[in-house]
Amino acid sequence: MTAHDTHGLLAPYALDALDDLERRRFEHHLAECASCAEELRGLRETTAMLGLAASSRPPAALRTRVMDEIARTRQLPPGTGARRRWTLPGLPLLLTAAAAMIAVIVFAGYAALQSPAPGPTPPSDPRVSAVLSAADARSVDVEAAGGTGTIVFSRSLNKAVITMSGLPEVPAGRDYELWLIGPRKPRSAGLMREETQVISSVDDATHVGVTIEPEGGSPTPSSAPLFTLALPG
Amino acid sequence: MSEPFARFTSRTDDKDLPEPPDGLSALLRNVARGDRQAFELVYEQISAPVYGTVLRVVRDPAQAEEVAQETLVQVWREASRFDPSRGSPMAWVLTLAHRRAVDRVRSSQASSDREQRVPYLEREHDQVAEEVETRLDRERVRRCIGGLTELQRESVTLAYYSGYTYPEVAGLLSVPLGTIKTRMRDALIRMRDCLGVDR
Repeated sequence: MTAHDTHGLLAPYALDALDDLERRRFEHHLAECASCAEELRGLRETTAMLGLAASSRPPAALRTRVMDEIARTRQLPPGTGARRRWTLPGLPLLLTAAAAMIAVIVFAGYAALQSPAPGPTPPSDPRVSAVLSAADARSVDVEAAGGTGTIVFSRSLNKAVITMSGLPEVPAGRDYELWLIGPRKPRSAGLMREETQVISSVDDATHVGVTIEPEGGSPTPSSAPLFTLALPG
Repeated sequence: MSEPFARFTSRTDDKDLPEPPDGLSALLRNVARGDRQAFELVYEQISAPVYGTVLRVVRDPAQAEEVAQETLVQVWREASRFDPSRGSPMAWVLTLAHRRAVDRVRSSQASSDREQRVPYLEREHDQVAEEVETRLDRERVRRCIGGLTELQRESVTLAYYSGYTYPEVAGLLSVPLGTIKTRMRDALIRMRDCLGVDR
């Protein structure tokens, strides 16, 4: 995707008129484009006006259900120092997310509305970009183990990108480990210490699983997976 | 909330405006600290915009209630992540709501269902309950939409109110993809300026 093409997607993005994959590609670009974020903000205020104009009072029962649910819903802590959640935050941020849900995945949601903090932009991982922009990239949304995210898989690159946020804090001395699961024994795909992880050499694997392992990981999974996900495509 | 636009339409300088103590930004700060009473006041201000936005896209009232509930709980859960210097609270909330609504129709509705949503478009401006506090908003938006070309207007309403992707909109309107992207952008910029000027 050229810069020109990408810029042309600002308005469709502000209108939520991109499909999942294009949305993610665009958000990947947004992370690096301060001027896009600034223009997007104005467009988002405008689209929100379209929503405001559609206001309609909900049934009274909704209020009761919402109040009941928030009474048992843990809140997210402030994003300490991590103002740009759609970039690739490191381990500490993931861990302080605690058991709370982050319904907005790394690349998604209101983060795009919020223009970036001034200062240098961390470079995005070119391996992530490659998978997201692959012609045969397929994505699937994930909601598992209290977290949400996305897997994007490119058969031609034999790579996948998994983005998860809101997973419960891993116990001290432990790590999340990713596994490629297929006809053979599960193979380690590395630790998940960042919200976004590139999985190489997918080969014949059909699923990705996550387990909690001793710090540094294990050669074979030592516990039942928290969840497994079918690779899209 | 006699003049909701006052807190809502500014594009770049919200952070410089003094905010009333019952303003959404201030309330959200309290919500982020676990203040449920503040959330009830937030609920008063955002529940109708959230539900209305979602209902417009999803159409089915039962599903709209579900999606609205998810959104409202998300506002509670993520209140600490809202930063008023980077956009208005209502835009933040409605971005969450619209995204969820669009995701719902795209994941759950077969294409045949989606076809059925098209005819409703013509009723867009008439079917919404005439709530006092939103009449002004609606009239202002309607006037600004009225200033768009037909293609601009249709490209924006098919995307935002019907939840179509821009290739789907291009197909429905029989125009090239590049044209649709341009029209969407032109339309939003024109509306932005129209709404902003009147503030």
